[in-house]
Amino acid sequence: QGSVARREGEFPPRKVRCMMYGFGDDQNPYTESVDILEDLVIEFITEMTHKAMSIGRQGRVQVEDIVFLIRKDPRKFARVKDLLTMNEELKRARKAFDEANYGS
Amino acid sequence: MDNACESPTEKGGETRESDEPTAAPGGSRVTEMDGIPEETDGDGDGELKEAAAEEGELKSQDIADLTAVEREDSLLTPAAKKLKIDTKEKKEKKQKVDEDEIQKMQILVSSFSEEQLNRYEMYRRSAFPKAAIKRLIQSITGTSVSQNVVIAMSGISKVFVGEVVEEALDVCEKWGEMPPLQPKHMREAVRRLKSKGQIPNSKHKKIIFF
Repeated sequence: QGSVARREGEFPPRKVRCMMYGFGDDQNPYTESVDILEDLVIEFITEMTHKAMSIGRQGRVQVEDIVFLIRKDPRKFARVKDLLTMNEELKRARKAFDEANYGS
Repeated sequence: MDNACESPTEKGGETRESDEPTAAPGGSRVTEMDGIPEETDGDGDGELKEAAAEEGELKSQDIADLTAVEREDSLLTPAAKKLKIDTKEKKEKKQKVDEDEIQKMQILVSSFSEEQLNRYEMYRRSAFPKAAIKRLIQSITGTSVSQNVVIAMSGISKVFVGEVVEEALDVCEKWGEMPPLQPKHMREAVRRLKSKGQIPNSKHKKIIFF
C-alpha cells in the first residue's frame, strides 16, 4: 500500500529530499533512496495507526494512544511532548491576542 | 548548480534561525508563529538530542512528583517538605539548563559555515505536509482524527526519518563509502533498527517459547 499512497501524490518527494539533506545526506540524494524512505514513513505511520486503533478507545486514534506507544522511545516521546506543549502555548497566545484586539 | 534542496523562498523576508533571539511565549524556542510549529527544538546533533530526551523524561517524572506532594500538603512531614523543595530546585536548575542550552545553540549556529547553515535550515524547516498525513491516517481509520494526532504523528515521523538517515550514514561510513546514501545503506539501516526494536512491525508472529 506504500506505492498507492505515493501514486496519489501524498508525499511530495522534494520534501523528503530536503529532510534527508537536513539529517546529513548529500544535497542531492539518490531518488531510489528517497523512494525507500518514503515507503518506510508510510509503513511507519500505517503501523502506528493500526496499533493506536487497537488500544485505548477501539477504532479511534487518540493522542494518548500515540504517547503510550512511543513511551519507550525517548527521542520520539520527548518530541511529541514538546510539540503538543508548544501547540497549547501557541493556542493560548493566539487566544489572548484575539481577545486583546477584538474583545471577548 | 543543480540543487535539489535550495532555501525556501516562498516566505520572503523571514529571518534565518541564527539571527533570531529566542522570542515566543514561555521562553520556548519557537521561531515561526504562523500556525502550528513544525520545527521547535534547538537540537542540532545527537548529543543535544539525547540531552533533551532525558530532560523530557525527567520533566514528566517531576510533574508527577509535584502533584503527589501537593495532594498531601496538609500532612507535610519534614521529609515531604524536603522533597518539595528538592523538586522546586530541580525545576529551577532545569530552566537554567534550558537557557544555557539556548545560548550554546546560538553560539554554535553563529559559527556555522554557509553549507552548514543551509543544512541546518533544511533540518529545521522540512516537514511532512499535514494534509497528506491526515489523509493517510483517515484512510486507515475510516473516521476523522483530531489536529493533535496529526501534529504528533508528523513529529514522530520526522524523528523516524532522522533515525533511519543517521543509522544509514553510520552504515555508509562503516563500509568506507561516501554519501549520497544508496538503497543498500538504507536497507541495512532498517535491518539494524528493526533488531533494536525501533521500527514497529506487527506482521510476523513472535515465537516466544520453542
